[in-house]
Amino acid sequence: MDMAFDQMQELSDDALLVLFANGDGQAAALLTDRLAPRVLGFATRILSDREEAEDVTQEAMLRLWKMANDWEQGEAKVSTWLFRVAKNLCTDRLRKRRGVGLDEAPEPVDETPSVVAQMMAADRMSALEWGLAQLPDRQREAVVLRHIEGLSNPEIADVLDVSVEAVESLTARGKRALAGHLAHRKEELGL
Amino acid sequence: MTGDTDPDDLKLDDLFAEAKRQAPDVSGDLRARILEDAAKIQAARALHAPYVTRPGFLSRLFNSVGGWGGLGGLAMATMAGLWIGFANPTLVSPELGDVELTELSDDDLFGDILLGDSLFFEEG
Repeated sequence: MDMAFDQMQELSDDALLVLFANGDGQAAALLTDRLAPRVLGFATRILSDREEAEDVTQEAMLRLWKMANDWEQGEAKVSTWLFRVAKNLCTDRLRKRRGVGLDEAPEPVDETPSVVAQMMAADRMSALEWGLAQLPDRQREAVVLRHIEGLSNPEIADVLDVSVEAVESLTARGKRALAGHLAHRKEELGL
Repeated sequence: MTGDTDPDDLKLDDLFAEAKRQAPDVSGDLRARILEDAAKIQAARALHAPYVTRPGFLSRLFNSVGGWGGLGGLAMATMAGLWIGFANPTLVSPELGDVELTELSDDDLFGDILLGDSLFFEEG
């Protein structure tokens, strides 16, 4: 018998995943409502493409459902695991988009048409999206995970598969570079 | 301008906080797609789950005597009982020794419960 919905809302992601593995349909809905918006936000900022970000979100959630039976409670946070999957899916798409290996890829071009178009509205969020799009992939991922998704440095290290020191360096450099990209619009954006 | 700037010069944290509050909405279509995937996975698992039934009477009986080990012990005890029943009573009754049944009085016979069978064999 399914647990009451109100009671389920108080459960951890871990516990909900176990319930899902045991066939509870409400657990899937709760996990989707908790986690999908965060994955979608992350993927949208990394890919700068809403449609692709939605595909990544669906695929990441599908992988979560598939591994639910094998999930070992306490091993890792479900959200961290999901961000890692989403990050890898984004990396694959960026590689395909560029047609070359990520390591060989040139630094991002200064202008992404869709983002530049959004900037015409002089909107603060659009400016942030544009600024993030200018950063190298690793810096962008680290800055988004740290400052927007609120992950801790060890969690980010787990997602990006780098050391905590590397995360600190990436976020610091990324934030500095972002500030540089937005500096000329300081007055306009109220920064 | 793309050069590095001290982030403290800009209110970047305010901008990040704003972005955090504006998490994108998951469209109804995307939510439905995700939940459809979840339902498919659950249905597939239910289909391949092992079929568990309540053990039957014989199975429960078998388990209650301790499985194969218990059953072996039971068989041994049964065989031992049969042997005791069919074997020459003189072997199991030190009181009788080699005395012939015909030499025994009624008290001798009915005084020992083991002689019930022996008497039967003598008569039959």
